[in-house]
Amino acid sequence: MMQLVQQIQIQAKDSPVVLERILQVIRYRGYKVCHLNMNKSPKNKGLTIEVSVESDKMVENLIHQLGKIVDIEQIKVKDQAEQKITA
Amino acid sequence: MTGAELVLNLLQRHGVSEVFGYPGGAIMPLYDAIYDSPIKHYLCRHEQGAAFAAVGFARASRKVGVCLATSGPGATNLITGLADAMSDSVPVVAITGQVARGSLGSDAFQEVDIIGLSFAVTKHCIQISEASEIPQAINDAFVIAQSGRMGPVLIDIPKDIQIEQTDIDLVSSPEKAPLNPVACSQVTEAKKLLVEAKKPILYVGGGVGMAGAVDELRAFVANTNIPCVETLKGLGTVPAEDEHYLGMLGMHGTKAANLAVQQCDLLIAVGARFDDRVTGKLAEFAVNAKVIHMDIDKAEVNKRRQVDVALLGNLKANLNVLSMPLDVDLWQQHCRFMRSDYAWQYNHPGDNIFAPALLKTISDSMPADSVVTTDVGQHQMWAAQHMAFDRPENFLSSGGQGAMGFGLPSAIGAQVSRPNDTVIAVSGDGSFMMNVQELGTLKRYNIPVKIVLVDNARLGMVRQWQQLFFQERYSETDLSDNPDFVMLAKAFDIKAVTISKKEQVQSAVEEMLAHEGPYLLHVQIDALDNVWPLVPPETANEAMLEST
Repeated sequence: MMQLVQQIQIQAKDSPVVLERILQVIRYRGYKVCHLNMNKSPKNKGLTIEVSVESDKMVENLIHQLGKIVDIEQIKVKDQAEQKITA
Repeated sequence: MTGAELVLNLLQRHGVSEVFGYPGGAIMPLYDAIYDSPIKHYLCRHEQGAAFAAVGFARASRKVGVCLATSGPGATNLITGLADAMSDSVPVVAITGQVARGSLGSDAFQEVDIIGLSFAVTKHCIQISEASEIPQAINDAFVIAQSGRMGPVLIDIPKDIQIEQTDIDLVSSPEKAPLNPVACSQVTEAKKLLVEAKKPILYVGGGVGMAGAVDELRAFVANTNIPCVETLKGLGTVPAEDEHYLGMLGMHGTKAANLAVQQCDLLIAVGARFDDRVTGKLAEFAVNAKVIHMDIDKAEVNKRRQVDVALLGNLKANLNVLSMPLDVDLWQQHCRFMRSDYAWQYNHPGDNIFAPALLKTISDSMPADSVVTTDVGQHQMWAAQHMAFDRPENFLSSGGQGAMGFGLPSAIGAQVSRPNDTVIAVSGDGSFMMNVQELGTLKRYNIPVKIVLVDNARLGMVRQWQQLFFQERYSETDLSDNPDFVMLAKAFDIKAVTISKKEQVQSAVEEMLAHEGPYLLHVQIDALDNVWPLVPPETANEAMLEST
């Protein structure tokens, strides 16, 4: 089965539970975290979270599920051209 | 005022007049405030009972259900009820006590990380860290629970915050849940599919009732003439006597409903999610159909079935936008004939009670606008098949989770929310024992729920599967050592009667319905009776088993 690594960028409120919630949804929906980076934005005090996930599933389904997390303000997938495909 | 008093004041401002719960150490300040509060508290006998009662309250009334529990085991006992509310999109606010802030993270007595535990079973969870956060947290909880796809929210409040004095001003009004948006870009494409379709079917899920769009759905059916099928949670949306209605679809659906879906060329899913119990083998579900999916939750679109057009947003508005007369008379006639040809048969040999006929008798005898709750198992499917409901709020069953123990406490919640309506809990002997302690709640408040306990002295649905798919190896499904249920009810001062013969049914049902207080009708049936039809797992819905 072809595994696709896809990068997601998330803007979130600086809530104590938001990172755990994101990771729980990623695991439950069948994706594996390959890389994770989180920074607190000095401007708006929010969080910027970049996460790479690996799965044979389309990333759109995950995006929709992550989009339901109340503390997430914005979410986007990085361009397909930037993504790596692994067998 | 204290933090605890502030919580209760805010609940009142959100229209809450009844809550369900169980006290304990870390939530004692809140219970101390309840002592003087106009909010009526119903003491359930287990926190799971309180959570299911909140679910029943919410589903029967379309309001928010509220349940309370202490920290640690009190909080963990809520989890099954919250999981049910999450799966079935029920607006519930759960408030848990927590150890004092100074003890958090120290493995204190009755400390558990309920926030960590609740991620998978709540739409949102909040731990209060200052009393000043309480108004925003309560407000957010009510807004989130009721907006978009509804669901449960948990608020965890450390004990010292409940005691803390606050001077918070409550002048601002509670926020309202925002109206769901209306789809527009896909309407033209959806209308094109509707006009082109020769054999359309409307597949109605629980989302229609949750959106308050029952009238719009009924008007859509009448205007378009499209035959319709319903999910377990959608039952009651279209009246059972409507000529367009073919029954429930899926694993235990009617033959007419399943065949019509398999034959259709356009499937319009409204507030439904292509659950595996509905679709059977997904790759063979309605294979010739194009699909229009109308829902509030974007994440449900293309999750299990790729659709041709998705209309996201407010169902009330979107159903009206799509409604138009269609030329589908021949198809409608074909479906009507199937409904007639495959109608339920109630002929049953012998003197023993046939559960489908029993439930039909109750359905025909109960007052208009009665609420029926079920537990989970064979009796649940028989109730779904053979009882008729006036509206979706009148049939409460644990759909997504299939949680045994749901029936009695959810009936308590339903009866509290609708004190003037008859509430009937249809249970099985396995499920009933899961929350049997709630007989104590019935007795304490004299809540007039009528319990119909369908007793085959087995875990019937599991036994049926063992018979069909596990070479009759009946592992741990014999319950012939059940207690004496009549004696058990009488121990709680609840009137109870046992019947076992067909000739007793009508008079027993009439006596039960006429009784003013809580009542248990214990019905002994044949241990080998099965639920038919049954679509075996990973099988297409047209390949249903009809009997053995």
